[in-house]
Amino acid sequence: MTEEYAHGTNPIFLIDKIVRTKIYACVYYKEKCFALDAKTIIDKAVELKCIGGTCGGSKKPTAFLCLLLKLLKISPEREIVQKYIESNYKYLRALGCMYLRLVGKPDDIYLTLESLYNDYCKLRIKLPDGSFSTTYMDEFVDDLLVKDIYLETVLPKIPKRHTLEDNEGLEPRVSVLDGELTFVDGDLEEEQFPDSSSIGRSKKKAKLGEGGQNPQKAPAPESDEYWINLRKQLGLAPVKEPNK
Amino acid sequence: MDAYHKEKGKKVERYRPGKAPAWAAEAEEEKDDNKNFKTIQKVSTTTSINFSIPSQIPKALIDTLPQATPILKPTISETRLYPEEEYTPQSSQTIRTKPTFVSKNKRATHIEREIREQEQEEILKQLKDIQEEKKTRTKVIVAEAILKEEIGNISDDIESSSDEDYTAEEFILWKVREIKRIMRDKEEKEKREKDIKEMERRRALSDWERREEDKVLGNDESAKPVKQKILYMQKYYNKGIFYQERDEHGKLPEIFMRDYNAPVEGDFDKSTLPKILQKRRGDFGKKGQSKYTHLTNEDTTNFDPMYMPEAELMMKQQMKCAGYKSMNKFDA
Repeated sequence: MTEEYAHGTNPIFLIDKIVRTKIYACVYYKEKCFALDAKTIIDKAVELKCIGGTCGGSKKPTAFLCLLLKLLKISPEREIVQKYIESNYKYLRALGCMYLRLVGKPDDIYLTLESLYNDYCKLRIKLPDGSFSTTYMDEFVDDLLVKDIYLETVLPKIPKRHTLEDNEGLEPRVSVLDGELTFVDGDLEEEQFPDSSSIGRSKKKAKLGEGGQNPQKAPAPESDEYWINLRKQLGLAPVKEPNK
Repeated sequence: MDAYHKEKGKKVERYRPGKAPAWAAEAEEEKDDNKNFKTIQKVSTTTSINFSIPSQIPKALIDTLPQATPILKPTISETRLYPEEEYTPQSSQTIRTKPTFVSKNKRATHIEREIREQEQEEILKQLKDIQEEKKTRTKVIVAEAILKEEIGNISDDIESSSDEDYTAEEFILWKVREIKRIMRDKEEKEKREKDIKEMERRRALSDWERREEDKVLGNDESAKPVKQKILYMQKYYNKGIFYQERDEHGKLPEIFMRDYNAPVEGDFDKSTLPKILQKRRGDFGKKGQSKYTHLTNEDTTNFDPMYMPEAELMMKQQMKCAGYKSMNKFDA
């Protein structure tokens, strides 16, 4: 991303003219985004409270969008963007992802963003009517990969994953759940989807695939031990102790 | 006739108040009635000068007499223009108070004004208080609303992704989402593979087999409506490009499958008519009728082989036109 141009144009043109004008006119951009660089923008991104496009009758841009435009202006290097995406702060991560989706190369986008499919931290999203809703990092990333327009931004066309797999030798995506799914593959319709409806309500009722390789030895899904083990396998942070 | 009118013819003397005119004496002599008037006048003058109240009348009674004894109380507002002796000759008998000077800030008007001002000030103060209260109340309401919003927004989670985001419940939800995503990708892949398979299978078929299959599927030429040959000089309708949307089975609605050029009333074979009657539809008998009937009638090409140009020359000419240079070159 050292190149000055993304997709043959100035990167700021990736945000529509109308939205861009609104961003330039908005107070947050004028006040907080002045003279930011790749390092100081981190402070602003950490302070973010939500992601979102524009909202309200006057289509006021969110701070997220302002910072995105600023990032497009700064055009940080690919390594720096990688640092953003790997950071501990979820809104900085989201910003980095969105930026990479806008200016990155297709295979790079797929590989980098798909790594965040395993990140299920909550994100607050500001809807166009000004209300808030909850989304998750994995959903956010999925929207970035699947949708054409997201958060008032036209996402540049990238080839479908399978064409890249066929033509450019991109490895097929491997989900962390693939092992489990193949185990219950035959009964997927019967077992997994009825569960999904009851999952939100009770932890006990949720029946999940029994840890791939040795189902007999694995602890029952009811116990905390099961979850800790599973998370360890997936390489995720340990579960916080439930309130007692 | 009175004295005045008698004197009319003479030179009029100047009238001076208090002095009787020259004709007055004559008039007195002439009219006795006027005597009474004179006496009354006399009396009135005497009373005005020598007015005195008898000493035996009690003082209180005198006070009650309205005309004779006007009550003179020294009020602040009263202003005396004339000396009292001149104005009220009888006042020597009434009790007169000495007019005293009242300083400006002790006068009744002044006090009244002060009271009025105070009242106004109080009212203004009250209005101000009400406004202040309103202001503070709105401030409180706004502050409450902001607080509520903030609490609503930031109640549940912390901005940096901490362990609080990664609870077991969230993990289950994520798992559902991930499985759905995997399923979606899988379905897409299956559909794609199915399409490719179908395509390859059809490519492998012979032409005859493919035609037969089309017949079965109903998406070949045979499915199209049979067109009637149009009559001599029949009006032609183009199908147009609109209303060509097909349903999910790839078929047009019946109404759009109809033949637009089927002859209707008024369309008959005009070749049987004499030449003079061979006019375009609706043209016959009109002033503006056209002599042109149909395009082939106007074609001036000489189809006689005698007059055909040489094929070689034609080809040479044609090769000069665009797009013919690499006509027979198949290599890249």
